[in-house]
Amino acid sequence: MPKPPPGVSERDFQTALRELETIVTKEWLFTSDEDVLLYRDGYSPLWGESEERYASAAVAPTTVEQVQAIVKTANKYGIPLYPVSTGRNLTYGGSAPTYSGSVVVDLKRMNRILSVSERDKTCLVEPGVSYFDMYRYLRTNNIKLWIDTADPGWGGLMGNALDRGGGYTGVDYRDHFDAHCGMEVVLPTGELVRTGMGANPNAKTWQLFKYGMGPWIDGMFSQSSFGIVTKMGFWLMEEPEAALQVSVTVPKRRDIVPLVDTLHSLMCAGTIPSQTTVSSPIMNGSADPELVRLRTSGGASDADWDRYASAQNRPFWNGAWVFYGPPKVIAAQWEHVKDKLAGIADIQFRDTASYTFPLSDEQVEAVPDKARLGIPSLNLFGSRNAPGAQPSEGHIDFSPMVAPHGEDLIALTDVTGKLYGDAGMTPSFVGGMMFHPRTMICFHAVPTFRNADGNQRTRKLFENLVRACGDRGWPIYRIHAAFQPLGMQQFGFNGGSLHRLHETLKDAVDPNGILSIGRYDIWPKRLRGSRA
Amino acid sequence: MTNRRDFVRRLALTTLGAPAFTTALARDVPRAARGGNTSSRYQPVIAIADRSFFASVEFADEAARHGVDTRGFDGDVAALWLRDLEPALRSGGVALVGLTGAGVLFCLETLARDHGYGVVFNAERPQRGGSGWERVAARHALEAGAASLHGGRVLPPFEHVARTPQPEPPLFAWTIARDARRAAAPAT
Repeated sequence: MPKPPPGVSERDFQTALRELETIVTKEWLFTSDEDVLLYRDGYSPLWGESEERYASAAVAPTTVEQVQAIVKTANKYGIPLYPVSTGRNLTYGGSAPTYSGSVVVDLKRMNRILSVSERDKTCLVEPGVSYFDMYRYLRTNNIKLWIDTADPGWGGLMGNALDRGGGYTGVDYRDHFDAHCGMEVVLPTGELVRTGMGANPNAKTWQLFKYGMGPWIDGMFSQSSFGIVTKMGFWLMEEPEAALQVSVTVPKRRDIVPLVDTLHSLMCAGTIPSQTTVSSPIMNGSADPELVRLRTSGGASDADWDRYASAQNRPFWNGAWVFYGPPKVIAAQWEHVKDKLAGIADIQFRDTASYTFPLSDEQVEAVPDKARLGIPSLNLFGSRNAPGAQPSEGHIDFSPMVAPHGEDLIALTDVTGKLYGDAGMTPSFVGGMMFHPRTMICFHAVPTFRNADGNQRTRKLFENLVRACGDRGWPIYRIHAAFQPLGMQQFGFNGGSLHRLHETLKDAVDPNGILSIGRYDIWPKRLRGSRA
Repeated sequence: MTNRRDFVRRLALTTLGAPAFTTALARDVPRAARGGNTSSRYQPVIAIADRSFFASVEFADEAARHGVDTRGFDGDVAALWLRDLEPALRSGGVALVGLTGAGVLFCLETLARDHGYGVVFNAERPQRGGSGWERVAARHALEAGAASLHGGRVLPPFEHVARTPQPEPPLFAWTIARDARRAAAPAT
């Protein structure tokens, strides 16, 4: 027998469940512990503790009309709903609700690819369509378009875009929210809205022109609790003639400054089209005690670091990206980039891999860095990537945004390294990843455990990281559900006026406060102050 | 046919068409699979081998000796999932066995759950290995798959004998089949 959500009587909850059963049939309403626990956050930093968030039930509609009916029932009985699409956003909370007792609206069965236009290079999909689904559809039908996939690639186009995830290919595609064009949304009242040109019932440009007429409100539905998105259009990248994956290395720690400045300029100019990553073969090295000392000291000098790198006989920084296009154009772009970077002493240039498209299935399997070619991969879980990692333990992402300035990257590694050291943990900085041409996301994977002691250490470290980076102007762009109030605190200009605006909007569009309660710290009026 | 028990779980076909990938089976079979006993009690079980690990290939080789179809991959199981495993699970009435790293098992367990499948056998390879451990583990995994498909009992736990340490991360022999509630030792 499922436990009612907080503030909902047993009688009302049972009545609501019976109505939900009528809407989706008995088969698609889930109330047993065994079923509902499938929505548990497997990477939860609160695993097994009283604050861990659980669903009370789950419901799996297949149509927009069913979604509308579910929302109306929820309003009638005050049932909190928590929609998920594929629910594989593991490092940010998975499919567990932000508010315990919510009924998960599992949209996985709404998995139709509604249209793909090779001519217009667009698609329209439902929430349950995964990167795997869309990739397979394009391959099977010999459509010369690419998806831009998250990595790992088992999530869904819509869920990743709505959480503002990123990928690796062309600039118009890898910011997944920015690459969307048009939505259909069930509002918390049950009303159906189409955004952009979709508001014109006869429009032939819903997936081509974003804005329509009047205020552009699509952004309201990302990282939010203002509606259940039931359709979403995306722009797809035309398969290029060829691609060339390249890398550069520079020997000294301070070389990161001219390297990133130049890469940034080249990305803004369109010469470098893909996502670009700068990482450190030195800092991401083994658990050498001297390396750990340097990383956790909070301010080792450039000279100290350069001595260490020199002794390791490895470059300090590596940069990697991909050119897409006709081979002649790629060659010219690469030569131009080499010219621009030639001023950095002892820089090394390397052609990592070249491809001519289309690729056969065998060639696809042999691609080592699949996401950069729009191929969904599970390589992050690969057997050689995490020796010793247990599937029962996971991680959450700490992902501060910094300006594309090498000095900021160095300062951030000093600050975070010290905090890791203070926590008795090894820093997990991955690199500066330029998903967006004008910022870098500096991912750190913070481990989570299946025991409270380990997770308490993790939570303390995570909170310190968020606060320290927020204080220095490097707030995170996205955050695990358990830390969303802390995340929003980093955006507290003018006494938290942005947050107040969010909650003003919440009151307007969700007057009964039933949808995604607490997501990104947006609470309905009746729960403000309790912050359950 | 999708049913309630399959839920969370099941991803139905897309409106615009089902996948049509085919497999170059021969390319994937480690050594002895073709010509195996197709009337085997172990049909239709699919054994997968991570070619990154000799032990994983040994495991699949043993399965092949019992007439089981085998598929290979190199660390990243995504393409194999898309091409062969997901369509097989969607069609139902199949079991998967393998000896892989924890990450691959985690992926397959998570993805298979969408089709109503779960881990019904799971044994961690001893850190120091064991003489013939992979082959014994394969037989146990196959029995677990056969028990799921056709009924019957899973073999009792088996012993292992220490041998030379392997420079490999922990590996797990496992079976993914219908009805996760049979699991004696959950993988996660």
